[in-house]
Amino acid sequence: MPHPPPAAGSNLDALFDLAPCGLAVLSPGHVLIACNRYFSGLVGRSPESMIGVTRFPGLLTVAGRIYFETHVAPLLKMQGRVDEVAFDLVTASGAREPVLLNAELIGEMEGDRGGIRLAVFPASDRRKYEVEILKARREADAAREAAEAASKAKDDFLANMSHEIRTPLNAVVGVAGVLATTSLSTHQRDMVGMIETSGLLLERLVSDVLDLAKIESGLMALEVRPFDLEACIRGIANLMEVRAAAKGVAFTLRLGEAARGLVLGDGLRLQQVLANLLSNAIKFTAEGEVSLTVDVEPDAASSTLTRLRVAVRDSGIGFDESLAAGLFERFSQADTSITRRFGGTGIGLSICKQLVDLMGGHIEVRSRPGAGSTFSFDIPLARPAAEAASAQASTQAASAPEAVGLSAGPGLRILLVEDNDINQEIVALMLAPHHVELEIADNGHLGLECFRRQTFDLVLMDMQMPVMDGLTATRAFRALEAADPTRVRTPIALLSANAMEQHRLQGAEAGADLHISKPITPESLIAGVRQALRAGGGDRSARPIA
Amino acid sequence: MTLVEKHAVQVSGQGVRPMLFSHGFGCDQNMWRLVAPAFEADFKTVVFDHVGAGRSDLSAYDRDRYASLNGYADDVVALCDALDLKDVVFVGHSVSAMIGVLAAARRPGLFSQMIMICPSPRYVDDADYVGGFARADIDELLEFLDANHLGWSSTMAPVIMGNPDRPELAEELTNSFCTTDPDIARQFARVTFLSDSRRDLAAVATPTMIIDCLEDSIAPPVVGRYVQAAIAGSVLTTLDATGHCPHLSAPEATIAAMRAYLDDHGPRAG
Repeated sequence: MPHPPPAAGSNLDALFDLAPCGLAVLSPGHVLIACNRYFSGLVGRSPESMIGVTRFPGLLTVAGRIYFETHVAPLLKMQGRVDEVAFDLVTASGAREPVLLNAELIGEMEGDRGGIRLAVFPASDRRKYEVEILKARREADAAREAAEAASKAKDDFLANMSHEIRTPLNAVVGVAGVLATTSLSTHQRDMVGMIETSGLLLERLVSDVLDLAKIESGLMALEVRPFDLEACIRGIANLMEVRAAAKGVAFTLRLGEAARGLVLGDGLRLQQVLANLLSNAIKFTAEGEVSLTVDVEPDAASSTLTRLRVAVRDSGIGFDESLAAGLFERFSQADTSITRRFGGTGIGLSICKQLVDLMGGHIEVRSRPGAGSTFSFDIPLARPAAEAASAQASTQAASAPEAVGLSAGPGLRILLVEDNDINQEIVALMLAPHHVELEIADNGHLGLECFRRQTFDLVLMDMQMPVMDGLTATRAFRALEAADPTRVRTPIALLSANAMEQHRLQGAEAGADLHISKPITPESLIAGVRQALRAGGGDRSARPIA
Repeated sequence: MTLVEKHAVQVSGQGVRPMLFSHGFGCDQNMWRLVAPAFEADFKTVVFDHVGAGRSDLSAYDRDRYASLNGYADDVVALCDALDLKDVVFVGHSVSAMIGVLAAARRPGLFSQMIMICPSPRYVDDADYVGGFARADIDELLEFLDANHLGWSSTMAPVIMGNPDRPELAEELTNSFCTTDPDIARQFARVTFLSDSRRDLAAVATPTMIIDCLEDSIAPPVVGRYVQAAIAGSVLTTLDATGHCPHLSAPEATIAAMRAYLDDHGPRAG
């Protein structure tokens, strides 16, 4: 349909000139070639002073000019038009007039050389409103960032506190362990046992709280590596059997035929879940039986994966099944009176669930009041490639700690680098029965001095120390050895309450052979010493280890 | 995600020798649409979006990596490696000319020639140096970008939330040119307009041509002359054009100037 014929020219001119918005036409070089009264009113300049002279970007603020040249002009050229771009026009007096701009490219067929047609609308109120919105958004962002920072600070505090708590705890458990090896009356032995048990319980709690904080802040990562499934399960089962026996509760382990050999996964975290479920079962069972059933089944969904199925059954007090779901939430026990009767914070099951979830598995519970409970979970497990498996197996076998004391023989020379005098004392006490020649240095720097002057069979190195920390010192020790070909590599074992994986990795990168976690017990220290001597290699491995 | 996807790379042309076009602040690879096709007969032309612009992978944007032009220069080198580009003619507009300078310093010999369109090593005036802007202008620009992006988002909001009556609106917006994430645009503006690459110019060993415009309020002719003086052996051609994007406003003149330089200074000419 053809367009209607144009109205009288005077009407169109009037519409252009008197339209209630600013209208203008620009040349291809963006010079003003026509504008209406509203436009010249907005910029406070006469049309005569601008036509043929003024470039439109020159009527904008500097920021607006940059935006026009780098964004709006290219956009116009490419898509032919832009709508509702916010600019400030600068009037002759220097005042700013907020406007919205619509602009359209004039095709070269239409005009002789093309150009731009544009309309501007005042937008003061809208701009004020937008500034308010921006301000509100910034404030909201700032508030969110502050909340995140506070949460981070809380996590950091928790991590630091847990470290701070572990250090004296290490002393309590360590000293109690040494004390137990001395000649004591039955009564005294019981009391020492209580100190040790309480210390270990406290250590468990600190670890749980830290784990929970890590899980909640998304920092918990699984360390997936090949481990021996049977050894992992038997390790925990043996421990729990002793505990159950002490309470007069029978303990049964049913290990399926397939639940053997190497699997890929986080063995330590699996042990943590097992330990938690089993200690709960023993705790809530006054008499009767606790059983652990473990089997591995092919995964229905995958040919390379298998599925580990675990059930922990007890004949204990049980609970109403309606409470089951809530059990896995934080700080929840089936009945608050349980806390009073049996102790515990109720975060253990929450951690179990989070760990099982993290491993891609599922945990559930069935129970009836008075008829015991069954906690069961299943997780996917992969089998490592055959070659890697055999290599890993031999390493693991070689490095498995042996619960053998150090026998008499030519004294081992051990350098202990440790700043805390109680910890120095504990290590000295633990090593005292083994004819060890112990040299003690108070920090990494002093340790390095000792190491430069003397040779040792083994170095026990604390991580956090003033003057020079353990990692720096370890690197320095290794550098010293590298610079002197006559020196034999000395095994270095790090002692630290910082048991996180990243610290292990840092230790290994610095050149340490082993990481012995605090709190140390006489057994873990001796096993660690033996393992470090082996791992450190060299001819010392042939030497009778005291 | 491959680098090609990350940068929405498009390769065209029948030639062997690569010509890599790097866009500047405010736009994306579309700004080469009037110039790049002219070189397809003789070159292998490559256009791409810097991360944060156009159809690049926004999730690849890392505030630390792109806190200076170095991150962008690393991208250019990585892209050349991924595409196995050698003997490259690098064409960079505005701030991308400096990204090219940094990339050339990272990998000497990667580019055999550089063509800088309206380059500026520093936008802010400094003592005797005239860049064209005061620091306060740039601060205002950052505020200004907020105002516009907010304006856009408020007009776009109904569309994003689903306007059943006008589905074509959403389509149009997602297809529009020079789209940029507002936060990324702000940081790129800061990085661009507060950059100072003057010291890097002296190290340029790549044969270089500079194209600028008679009237350009972003990189005025005095800046083009500065760049030419700073890069030994460089050639300056000033187009009788207006604005900061002659490859869009005067594409024929831009193509002609590039051709003339490449014909006269071809690495294998003669």
